[in-house]
Formats: sequence, structure tokens, C-alpha cells
Amino acid sequence: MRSIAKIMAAAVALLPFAAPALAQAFPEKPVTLVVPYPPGGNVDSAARLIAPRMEEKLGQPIVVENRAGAAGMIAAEYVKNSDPDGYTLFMAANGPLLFAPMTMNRPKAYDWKTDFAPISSVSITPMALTVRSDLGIKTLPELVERADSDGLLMASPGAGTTNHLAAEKLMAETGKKWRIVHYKGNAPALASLAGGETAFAFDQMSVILPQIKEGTVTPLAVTSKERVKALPDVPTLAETGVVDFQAVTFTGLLAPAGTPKDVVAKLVDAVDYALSDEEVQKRFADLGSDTQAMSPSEFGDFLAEMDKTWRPVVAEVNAKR
Amino acid sequence: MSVFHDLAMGFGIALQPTAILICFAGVLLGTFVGVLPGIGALAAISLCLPLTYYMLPVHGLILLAGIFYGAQYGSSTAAILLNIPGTPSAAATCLDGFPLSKKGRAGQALFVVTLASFFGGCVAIILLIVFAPPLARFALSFGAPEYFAVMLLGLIAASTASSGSAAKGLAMVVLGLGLGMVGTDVTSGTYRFTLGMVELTDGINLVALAMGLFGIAEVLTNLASSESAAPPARSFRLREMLPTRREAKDSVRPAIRGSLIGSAVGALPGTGPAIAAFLAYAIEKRVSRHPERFGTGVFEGIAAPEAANNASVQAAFIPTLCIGIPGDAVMAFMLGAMIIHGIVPGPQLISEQPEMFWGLVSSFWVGNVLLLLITLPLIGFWVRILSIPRQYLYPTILFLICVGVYSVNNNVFDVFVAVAFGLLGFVMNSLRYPVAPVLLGYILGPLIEENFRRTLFISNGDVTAFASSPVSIIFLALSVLALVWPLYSHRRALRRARSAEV
Repeated sequence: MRSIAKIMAAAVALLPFAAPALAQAFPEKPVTLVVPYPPGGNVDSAARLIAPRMEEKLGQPIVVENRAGAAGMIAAEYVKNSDPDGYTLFMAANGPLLFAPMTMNRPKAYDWKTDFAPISSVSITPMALTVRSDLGIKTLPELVERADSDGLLMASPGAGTTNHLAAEKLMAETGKKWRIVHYKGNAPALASLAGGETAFAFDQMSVILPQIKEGTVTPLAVTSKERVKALPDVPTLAETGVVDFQAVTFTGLLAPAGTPKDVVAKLVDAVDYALSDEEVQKRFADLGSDTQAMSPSEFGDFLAEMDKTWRPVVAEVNAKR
Repeated sequence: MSVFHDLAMGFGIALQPTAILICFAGVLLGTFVGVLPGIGALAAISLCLPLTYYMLPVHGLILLAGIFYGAQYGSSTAAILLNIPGTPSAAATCLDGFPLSKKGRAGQALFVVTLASFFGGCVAIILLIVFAPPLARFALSFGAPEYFAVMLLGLIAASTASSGSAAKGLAMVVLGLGLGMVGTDVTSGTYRFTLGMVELTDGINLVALAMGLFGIAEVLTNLASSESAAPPARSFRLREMLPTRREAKDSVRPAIRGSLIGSAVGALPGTGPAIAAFLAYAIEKRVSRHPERFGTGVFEGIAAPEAANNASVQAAFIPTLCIGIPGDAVMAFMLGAMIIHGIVPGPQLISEQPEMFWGLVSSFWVGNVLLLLITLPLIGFWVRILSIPRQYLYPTILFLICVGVYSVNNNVFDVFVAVAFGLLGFVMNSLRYPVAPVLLGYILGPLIEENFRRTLFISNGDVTAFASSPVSIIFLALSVLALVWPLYSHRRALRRARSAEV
């Protein structure tokens, strides 16, 4: 009996050294990507697009798991509390990762800087600011002016969304005011714009491109740093000379903090591999997004930058409601 | 006619052996998830999405769509046999379906709802083929005041739909309206009645609520009572499941009305099959010559909602395919699936990818015919469920409900919610409070409130905005009529009774 106890003790003592050996073998079982939204939509599609290619690279199945709810906090907390072994990853986006604890009044729930280990960004989705074509508005200054003086209504897919925040920032920086009508998600907001109930909106590219092509709405600006391939003639916000900021939604993968470096490195490789596939890039382009792989430290810097730009806007919107 | 040319091309795609096989797999799977209480189409569709990566895009969509509308066929089965709707949209079917089972007419009821579903599906598909773009534009012209007026009519018409005490029914509608308020206010982003729980910030989950109130409550009620739920059938031959000529005749007009209501409701983004089914049931009860018999097991009461919910899911493809605006969660997922397959739904879809559009639409027809062929022979099999001893049947149902509710959000919290509503439903059943109005208030309340406030916000508080368009005026007038008519007819009946006495 004693010898068994000794072996056990030795085994326990050796456990810390076993970690690198485990990482060597990573992954030995399916890896789960936790999506903070229900199936369908931008973030879910991004996860499902990279999963098959990551599978090829890692040699293990990738499971996309939707844990929607509470502005993404349920998914974020689930990943935060998972074992930091690289088998449970957070498919994050702006709100769920950076601002949900603040908007949900639970600031202590998690902090993206200390509770998560960045792996890589996956995609960047710019928005377009469009106005109903029958209004005859062709430029951003014109829109801002008329929105203020004629009381044009803006459609938003929900209070606190990037779309809503971009509008708040635009109002703050131009000193103009207009009223924002909130809807439950992109679809009804788009329906209100196409149906004429509202006049203009910030929309993700994939949502609005078909309407732009159809001529229902006129694009005035895109919210990315550079012009968008699908709309080469449309200026960026900075190029309009009215304001100078970017408002993009990103998707990216994060592991729980404390995940071994070599496990993270393998996951970075897998994301790189998936995003370098031309077919995958094309599908993201169809979604109106650009694939964007970053190293963990670049991704961390990117998140810090997003956090810095938008936290004051979020805080202001949050205080007002 | 170019429509026939397009359709011929569509059927050319949908009738290829592979496409038929894939469609068959989809509708079969859909039937099963529909039959199983709690497990809905969305869970099955998201599980099957990875499979479609290895198919042609049009085949992938045929599969996913087949699961979606197949689930509607299946969902009435448990509603009729066990008083447990397979999906929330079959809740209205419980009202008369289960009493029919108790009368020993389960097989006939299943036969009628299968044909009604088929009919509803066909009507919606024809509308989709002939009128898709104008219908989509019409649906787009619905703004906040129009939605408010339509939903108000729905609430008023359906509030009195349940049988038994009207006071109890109305009290339960109010309870439902209250439950619908839980969550985040759309207009301001404020949390209401969330009791400090993050899980409640998105509101109470529809599937959890419906499965608790209907499913778990029904199981508990049955366990508590000694009488058996519905008598097991003695014969399982299809011939003996045929409805009588009278029963068939009673079902025809309700199925037609249900199909039209379902198609109209389904084409409106943001509504869904549950509203269509309840509305069809309520209208059927209104136009019936014997409304007092509703709830006791009449075929009108199952044909209308089943035609409506199936027509509605078929018509839900209209806004999704033609303008790229999904009507509900399942359609949002379908839209995502299309984009993953490199198809961008929207106004250009029909002209740019006609083989995609017409192939998918033609497959709906193939799928509905297949569903008819699958479902009719299965009726005898399903009716056998009634002969399963309840010590085996009920634990199985509870297990399936829990799995189904969990699968919606992968969240145990929803299972607890379902159990809580199961207990509430059990108490309500014991005290003879109807459960259907709770679900109705819960579904319609938030839509009414949201659009009421949005109307006023847009008009800057001007109340006349509610009557700003012909559509809203018509529906508001109908709402008033729906409120006043029962009072009037009741008085007239009283007066007649009195004059007869004198």
C-alpha cells in the first residue's frame, strides 16, 4: 500500500512538469469556440467559417457553441471560468469582450485585460453610413445638417451597439443632434430604413450592401480606416473632412488567461492557416468583412486602442439611460 | 409565362435524385425534432450547418429549409396526443387537438392537421412564387403604427380564444403581458424586472416558458391525476384513421382561412408561426356558428392553426429571400447560412441567382409532398405513443423537454425557468386557469409595447400617428369591433332570451 501512495505522491509532484508534455500533444480532443450570440449573424458566421480550416490544421474537430445572452456576458464568463488549456475559446466581438461588464452594470464580472489571453483577430467589419435615396442627400455634411434641422430619424439595431455608438460619437463631434430609433437587431432596423420609417443608419457592410446595389439607399461614408473594396467610390469618415474616427466591429479569438504559451502559439498558427485560405477570405468578403490575422500582442494592442476610443462614448450612453 | 419557365428550371434542380434525397433527409429530421417537445428547428439546423459545407449551396439550403418546415408538421403530433406542443407554434393546436384525442379521435385529428399543413404550405408557396416581390414590398410598408394595430387586433381577438371562464382567461393574458416585460427595454436599454439576474436581461426564453407551462405542467398534472390522459387506440390501420365526411367538411374552410392568415403573418418580419396559429384559431372561433364548442375538440380548431403555422413558415422566406430581411431567429440563421455559402439574399437574388431561388422554392413543394408521404403512414405509429405506460412515457418527455430547452442557448438557467413555469402551470391546471393566454400575452405584449412607444417616439407624441395609414385604420377599427361585438351579441342574446320568456 505504501508503495502505491509513494507512486501517487511522485506522480502528483511531477504534475507541473507534465504541462509542457500535454501542450506538445495539444489538441487531443475537440476544441470549442464559444460564440456570444445565437446562430446566424456576423460573429457566428465568422466562427463557422474558420472552424473547418482550423480543424484541418489542428487535426481535431472544432465545435461552435452558441451561448447567447446578457450582451455576451454569459459566453465571456463561461470561457473565463473554463480551464486555461486551450480547449475552450471565446469568439469575441466589441461589445461582449470590452464593454458588456460596464453596460450591464457588473464591472467586476471580468476584465478583458486580465481575464483573457488574446490569440488573434479574425475579421474586421466596417460599417457604411447610408441615407434613403429618395431624400436626395449626397454628402455627409449635408446629411448632418438636415438631420439636425429637418429632424431626420436614424435607425439603430439596439441601444449600445457599435452602430448606435458611432452615431453618438458623430453627434458629439459635429455638435449636431438627431433622434435615434432603436430596433431589436439589424433586420427590423433595416426594414424600417428600406420601408421609409427612418431616414438613415449605420449598418454593417453585409447587411446594407444589397440595398446599396438595389439603389434603395445611398452610401455617404464608410467607417473604416481605408476605403472598402466593394464601394471604391465611397469616402471614409476621415476623408469627408467632417470627423476623424473609425468605427468597426471586429471578431477575434481569446483563451482564458493563463493558457500555456505554446498552446496559444498552436492556435495562432491554426487561425493564420484558416485565414490565409483564399476561399475563406472570399466568404468573409461576401459577408462584408476583411479577414485580419494578428499576433497575440498586436491583437492586444488593437483591443487596447478600441477600448480607449470607445469607452468614454459607452460610458456616456450608459449614464444617459 | 416566364414564371412557368422559371419554375421548370427550379424543378429541374429540385427533382434531381440527390436533391430529392437531401430534401427527404431534411424533412424527416425536421419531423422528428418537431415531434420531440422542446427541441426546435433552430437547434437541428445549426447542428446540420457544418454538413452543408460539403454540398452544393442549393442542396445545403434545401436541407436546412426542409428541417425548418418539416418541424412544423411534426410539432402538432405531441400537441394532439399529449397536450404538449412540439414547438411553441403548435400551442394553439393543443386547445382542440388534445380534447379530440380524449374523444378517441387522435388518428383522425393527425390526419386532418397533416392535410391542413400541406394545404397551408402549398398556398404560401404559390404566393411566394407569384407575388414574392410585391408581397415583400407590402411587408416593408408596415411601420410601427401598422404593427401596433395588427398586434393589438391579434391580442384582442385571441384573448377570448380559450374556453372556460372569460375572467380567468383575461387574467392570464395580463400575466403573460407582465412576463413579456421582463428583460431589456428596446427603446431605452433599461432593465426591467430582471431581479438582478444577468440571464433575465434578454427576457424569459420563449421555449422555456412554453415547454414549462404546456409540457412540464401537463406531465405533472397527469401524474397527479388517476385518470389516463387519452384512451389508446385499438386499431392502427390508416383506413381507420380517416376522418368522417363531416369532419373533413368542417376542416376545409378553416384550412383555407388559416392558410391565408398564416401567409400574411409569415410575410411580416418579426411575427412568426405562433402568432399566426393563435390568430387563425381566434378568427375561426369568431366566425364559427358554434364558438362555444371550441376547446371541446372540434376539427375547425386544429385545421386552422396548423394550416396557418405551416403557411407562415413557408411565407417567412419571402422577406428573407426577396429583401434580405429575416423575420425571426431561424430565418436569421438561414440568412447566415446562405452568406456562408456565398449567396447574398436581397432584392437582387432572383435576378442574379435564379437557379438558387427557384430551385429552393421548388424544393419546398417537393418537401411538402414528401412530408405528406412520410407523415400519413406515421400516424398509426404516433398514435401508439398513447399505449406507452406512463411510468415510461412521462420521464422520457421530461428528459426530452430539458434537453430541448437547454439546447436553445446551451444554458441551464433556461431549464430552471422551464421547471418554474411547469410548477406554475401545474397549479393553474389544477385551478382551471387556461395556460394558452399566458403564452399569447407573452408573445404579443412586447411587440405591442415596442411598436406603441416607437410610434409615439417617431411622431413626437402625436397620438393621431396611430391612424396615419389605411392599414392601421382598418386594423384599429377591427380591434374596436372585436371588443364591442361580443358585448353586443351577448346583449342581443339576453334580450332574445328575455322576450322569449315573456
